[in-house]
Amino acid sequence: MKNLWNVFVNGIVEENAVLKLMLGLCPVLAVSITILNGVGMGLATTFVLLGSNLTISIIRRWVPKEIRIPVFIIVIATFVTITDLIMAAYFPPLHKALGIFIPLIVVNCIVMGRAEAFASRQSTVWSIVDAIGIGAGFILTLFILSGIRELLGNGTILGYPVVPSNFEPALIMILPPGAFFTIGLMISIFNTIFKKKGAGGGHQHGSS
Amino acid sequence: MNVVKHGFILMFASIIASGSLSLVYHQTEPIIEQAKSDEIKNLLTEVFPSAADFHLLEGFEPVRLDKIVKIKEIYIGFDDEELRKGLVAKVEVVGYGGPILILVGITKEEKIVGIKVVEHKETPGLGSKITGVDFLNRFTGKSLRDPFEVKTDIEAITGATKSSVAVTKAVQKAATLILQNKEVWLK
Repeated sequence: MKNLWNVFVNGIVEENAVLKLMLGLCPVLAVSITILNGVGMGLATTFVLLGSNLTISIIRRWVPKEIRIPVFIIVIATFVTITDLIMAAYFPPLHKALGIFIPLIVVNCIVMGRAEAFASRQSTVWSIVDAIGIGAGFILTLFILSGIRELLGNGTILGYPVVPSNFEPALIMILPPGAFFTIGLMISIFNTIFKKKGAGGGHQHGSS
Repeated sequence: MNVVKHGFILMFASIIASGSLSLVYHQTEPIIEQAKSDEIKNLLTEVFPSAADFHLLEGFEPVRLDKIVKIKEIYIGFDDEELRKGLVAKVEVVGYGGPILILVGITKEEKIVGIKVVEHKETPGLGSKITGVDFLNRFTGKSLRDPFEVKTDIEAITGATKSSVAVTKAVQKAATLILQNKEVWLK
């Protein structure tokens, strides 16, 4: 029994792109310095994911197997460029902060992985729910990771100072090593909590 | 035959993709241009609040003043009556981690009214303090004829001497060049 709710939760827990599938780690580590950047990146990726999953699930019938990958890349690259342009037009500071990592969503394994493993095999509605689930898992992971890094490394939450003035921010947290420490801890904690679930069920839509 | 069919499908996909891209591009292009010019205007106003309008100094070629200092652009600031109030110099200097881009606002009276670090790659937490008002306020109000030397009249940031020296040197070199050309630029 697998309904839409399960598909959604699956994207957050069992197939959490970053913590379970270990996909898209590069942008996650790079942009998670502040919550705003982290969540901005999560939303941008989710938008691309939604667009590509939706489009691919609609056109999958007319795309022959042999050329599906180039077609998927065209679809994904189009949505990434649209996202890039929209962000440059309406959110210039965020666009500037995320920089090269917006165009690099094209090569984000999460998007291609969902296109290949899910959207090219499932109906439109399911593909949309899958995109929202995976996107929510991605945003949630980035939110927690960037929240920890911003709080400990800069002493702020969303730019507002929240720590007492005698707290000395741990600089290392906003430097690359801090990202590795935090993501490592998050992965181990996450996988300890959700161990039973993963071992029993297995992956229905494995995307290795 | 499959090759031809696949080719057509790919061509069709590309046509739709480029069509929708050009649509989005034409919708967003004016907004992006507007946002960019607004951003420049805002930055210039920040370092030179009393000017109402800025014009890029025409015919000015970027000049290298030193091994590490380069003046990239000069904007002339005007007031409401189109009279020259001063200028804003965009200076690039090589710091500890890479190029630092600085805007310096200078009045007709040869005084610094504002300074801002626009871009830098200095170490977060140490060299990055050059962007803070604590450091930059050490420059505001100074005359262009001041020496602009770390230890003499500018106090360096603890733990970020190299970054502080870079910014100070950038201002010093820019000040010298502007004094040399003041008859043309500031009058």
